[in-house]
Amino acid sequence: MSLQVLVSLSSFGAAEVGRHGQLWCAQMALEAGADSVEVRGEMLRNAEAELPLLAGLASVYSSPEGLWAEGGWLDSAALARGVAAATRLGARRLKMSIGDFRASSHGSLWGLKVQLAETRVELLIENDQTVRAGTLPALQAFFDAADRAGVELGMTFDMGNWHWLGECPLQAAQALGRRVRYVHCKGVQRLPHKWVAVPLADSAAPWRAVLRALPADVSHAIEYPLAGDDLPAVVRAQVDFIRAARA
Amino acid sequence: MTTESIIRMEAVNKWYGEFQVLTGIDLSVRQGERIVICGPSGSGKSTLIRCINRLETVQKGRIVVDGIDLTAGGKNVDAVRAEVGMVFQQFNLFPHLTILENCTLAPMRSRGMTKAQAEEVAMKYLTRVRIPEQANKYPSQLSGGQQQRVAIARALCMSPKIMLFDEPTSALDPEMVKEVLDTMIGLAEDGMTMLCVTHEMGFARSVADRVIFMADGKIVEQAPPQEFFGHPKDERTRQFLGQILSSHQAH
Repeated sequence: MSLQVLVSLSSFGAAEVGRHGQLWCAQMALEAGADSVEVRGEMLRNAEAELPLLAGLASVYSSPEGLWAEGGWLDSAALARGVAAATRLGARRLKMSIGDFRASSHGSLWGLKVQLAETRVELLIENDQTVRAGTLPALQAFFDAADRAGVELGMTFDMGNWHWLGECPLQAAQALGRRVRYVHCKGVQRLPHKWVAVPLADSAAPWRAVLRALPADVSHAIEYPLAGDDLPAVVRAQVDFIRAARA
Repeated sequence: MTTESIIRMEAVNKWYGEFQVLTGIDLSVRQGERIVICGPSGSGKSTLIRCINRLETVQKGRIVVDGIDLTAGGKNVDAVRAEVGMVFQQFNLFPHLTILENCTLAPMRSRGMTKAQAEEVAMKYLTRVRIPEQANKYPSQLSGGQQQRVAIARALCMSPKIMLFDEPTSALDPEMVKEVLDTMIGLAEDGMTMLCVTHEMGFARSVADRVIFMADGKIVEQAPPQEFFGHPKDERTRQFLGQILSSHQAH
């Protein structure tokens, strides 16, 4: 089976998605050759109206909420909202960050296990751009605790986010590669005052080495800016680029 | 650039009810001059440029644009709109008209051009903003950056002597800002008189002849970019520039 290449709809930019809606972006991405899309919870203006229209087009729903709320409490309601949105979309996967998971949160992993047993939606944990939910020690501590509690969780590996935190993406890929079930492809460049996401081919990071350290048979998503006068052509070229990079 | 003023504002004051939005504005703009206006939200910068094409009227003071005294009353004051093009933050294209139709509407109605003439002019400017191939599409089919370039082309179709830009990139994703700024830089290089409200300080540095800082409805400071950025005199200017730079760092 050929590599599944998705487009995270955030790649079109918040203003563009706001202007056109995620449905328009999803249809365009699929017509341009993407296998599926990732719908972004933070970009829904009217979830009630938009999710049914997007049903069947997306295989991942990205929740903007953390699994553990401030204080280290499992946010069961946030998880339930994410699962409900993924279910309405017909998406088989839900992507969330761990949020404020801390030592005192270990006991609540049992609650997570129970809640996940009630749904067919697969939860994937993503490394975000925060210290508490995006550094390698934070993620390793979390997955170790989850393993001990018997909660088997896969990971969305965002190639770019590590840079925001001063982490080494290659070291992270080597440490977490066996857990990865979904890859967010993201190149990075350093501007004088900030990191920015760029296409892999323009990345200043050793992205080929990072990809080699990750499983090649899992879905990969484009999550870097897609812009240009002929947007479908840009999407097509980038989808082809990801396929070629993993061939 | 000539030394002749194409815009003169003298002791301009404007109120919205009790609130004074412009206070004692004196501003003279030479033909071909490129001015960037910046300042905190609510400082009156958008109101100031909207007065130049009479989208806003003032209660006190004098505004003369291309020899037309906007504050004198009379029939010809609205003629100034034909000489002054304006580009807004929201592109304000007609959604039910194609890109070409958006560009030909005003020249046919206000300039009396035939459809063929107006289309020829429109295609010239759509080519100039590098999107001639989008002419038969509708605005909803275009990206924000493309729509803003159409808005610029539409304004140019009226052959304006002055172009006003009111935060033309602030509704765009970062990746699309450059294509709009590049179009504006092209206009500046051709000698267009431009007044631009923007927080794109890179654009101000490289393109502006003069940068104006406004606060509380007043012009607080104005200087060529090198002096403005290198040695801001007023504390409010320094504070504003500090905030702009740090907000760019945070994202």
